[in-house]
Amino acid sequence: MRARLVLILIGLTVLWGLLLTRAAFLQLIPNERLRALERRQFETVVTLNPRRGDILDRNGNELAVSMTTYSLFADPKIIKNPKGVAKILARELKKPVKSIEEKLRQRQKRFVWIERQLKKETRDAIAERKIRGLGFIEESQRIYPNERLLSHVLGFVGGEGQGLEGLELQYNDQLQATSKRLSVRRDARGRPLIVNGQMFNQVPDGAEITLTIDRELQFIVEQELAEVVRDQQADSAVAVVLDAQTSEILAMASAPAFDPNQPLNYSSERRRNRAVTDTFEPGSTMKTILIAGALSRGLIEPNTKFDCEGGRMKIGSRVIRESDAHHRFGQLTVNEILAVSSNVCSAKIAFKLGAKNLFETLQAFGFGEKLGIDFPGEAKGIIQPQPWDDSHLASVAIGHAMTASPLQIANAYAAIANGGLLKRPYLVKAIRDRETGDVTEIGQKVLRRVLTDEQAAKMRIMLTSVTSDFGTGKNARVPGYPVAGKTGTAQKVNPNGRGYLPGGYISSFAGFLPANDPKFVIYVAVDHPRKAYYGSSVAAPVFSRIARFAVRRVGLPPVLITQEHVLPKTPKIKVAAPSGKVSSAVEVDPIQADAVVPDLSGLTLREVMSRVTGSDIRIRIHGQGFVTHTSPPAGARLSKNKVLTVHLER
Amino acid sequence: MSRLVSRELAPFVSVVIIVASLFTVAICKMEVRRMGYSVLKLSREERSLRDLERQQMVQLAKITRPERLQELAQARLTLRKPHSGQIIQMTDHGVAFRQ
Repeated sequence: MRARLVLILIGLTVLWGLLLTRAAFLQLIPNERLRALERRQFETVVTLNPRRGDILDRNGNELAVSMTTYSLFADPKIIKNPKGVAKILARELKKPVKSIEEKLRQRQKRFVWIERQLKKETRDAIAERKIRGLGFIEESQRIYPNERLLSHVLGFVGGEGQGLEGLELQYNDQLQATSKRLSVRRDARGRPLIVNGQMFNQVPDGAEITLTIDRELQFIVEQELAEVVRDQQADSAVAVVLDAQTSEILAMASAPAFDPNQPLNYSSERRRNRAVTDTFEPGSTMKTILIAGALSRGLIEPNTKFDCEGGRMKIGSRVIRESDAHHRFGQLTVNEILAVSSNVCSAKIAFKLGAKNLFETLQAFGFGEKLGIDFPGEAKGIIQPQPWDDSHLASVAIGHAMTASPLQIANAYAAIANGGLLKRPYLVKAIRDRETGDVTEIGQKVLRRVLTDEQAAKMRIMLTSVTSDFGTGKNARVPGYPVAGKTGTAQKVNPNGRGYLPGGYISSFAGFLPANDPKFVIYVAVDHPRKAYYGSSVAAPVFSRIARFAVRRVGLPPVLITQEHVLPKTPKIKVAAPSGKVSSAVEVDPIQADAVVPDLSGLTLREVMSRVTGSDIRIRIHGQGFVTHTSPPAGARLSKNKVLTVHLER
Repeated sequence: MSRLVSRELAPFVSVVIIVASLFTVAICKMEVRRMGYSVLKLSREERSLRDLERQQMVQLAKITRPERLQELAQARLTLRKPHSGQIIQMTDHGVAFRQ
């Protein structure tokens, strides 16, 4: 008996020993297969989707932002009642039942998208129903809150959030961060066991990009372009505003614009950023570069005289004429040649400069090469390789037989404005890493010196003559500020054949202000205006309006203060505020006795105030909107200091 | 006498201490787990609030876009675009300058 017990004990001991050995083997000896099994059982992977970085303007206004949205998917194999589920979803998604039901009946599939990019409220409403076989995936949606504003520069993203055009494409790597996968232990119900609560919220967002663009200035530029396209029945228009000293791009616009929130509703032609990707024959704006080239080589001075041959010159079999057949110029100084935009004398300057030197000048000013702007699809323009015959040389001198982009032209003028340095134009001012907070500032980059300080100063003075009384650019003037610039009227190349398009012109104006200490370089071009075609009458007024806003925007004090533009000082009179209390804050001109009540009906309050300025009328205001009637009525006489009650309604 | 009692109680006390320690460890672990769930819930809430904040930021950006402000100014406040000469620029020299 005892022996049996011993045997059983030994047997049990051996068995326990084996079990313990096995347990020790499993626990102590590393085994990848077992580790993988353990991971599968006790660990879960949480994928944190990053948000695409924001794009801001220079003042921090949002231009492109991303928001978390939820995409609804279904596993048709485990949906029991497709029709019932489709009805519920149709109600929440506001979509036809049939289209959803069709998706849910695809039994052979285990995954179908029902709807992408839903708002949180819709997601919560569907999730509350707890329908088996439905699920959500977090996605990021790109939103352009300003809609059409800066659309050509920003570009847009594709369905999967990848940049497809514009800055979205150029900076896709920085804007788009990779998703983060966290491996965490989970409990029996599959819930993650958190060690660090922050780890779910530290999503590696894409970098935040701050542009050099000023949103308000951009808005005005776009508005002016849209207006000129409408008024002139033009095909399109383009404008670039640069910081004259750094070549930062403050505004860049093409009209017509498009809404990047729905990019596929527009043709690719309309989505193109013409300021960078399109080139055309620039016309007379290139005479500035020609003269700068001759000046830099000491071949001419501002007062050097040329004979303009009465407005007509024969070069081989070709005759060069002034743009206006009535112009029959004789002896003109270089300064005057620029001011009146003489083609004949420009050709003569080109002959003096020589084809090789003009070619080199154009290249030095950045034509025929990419400037290296941080934007995809930059065009370099065309300059024919040497040798050039006289006819070709004369054509290039007046901005034909070559092409350039609006950005190249604006940047060449910036070189003259800043004292002779050609700088790289750029759109991105800073890139901030959202994870580390590190900010990479992007500053100006000098490409080369193209003029000495003195030569650039001479050019600035000469260009100011273009906006003088006898110059072609009078319409580009800005009250209070000397404007330097040049008009351009180029024939448009026939897109469907050889030669030029009959009646087709590109009207432009390139310039900067204040001419004595330039702050802004502005280039405006209008493609195929149909009511007028001279740069002086089409593009110059647009330049002027943009420039007026730009100087006000930065609070630039006027340089030229003339009596014409100064308001006389006026004494104060009291005007009744809407509440009936008397306000003393409003200044109105002195009064007239025995004023007659004017007909103010239909006017706004502002217009009423403007009309009564100079009269001795105390205004009492009732309501808001437009004037319906006054008391006393229009035409009645008011004695001195009598109150006029104005009734307004919307 | 007391030494004898304490000697007799020692094993019992030891067992009690061990058991109590084990319970304490278990309770602490449960508390950690419970707090983990709370943290998970709060971190989800934080995320949701951040999303909401972002949503409102986008909304603000949309409603303050220049085009909309201009439309409102013209439609509701009956303002119009100024004509040439209607903008008065105040200069540093105390001169009101008509633009």
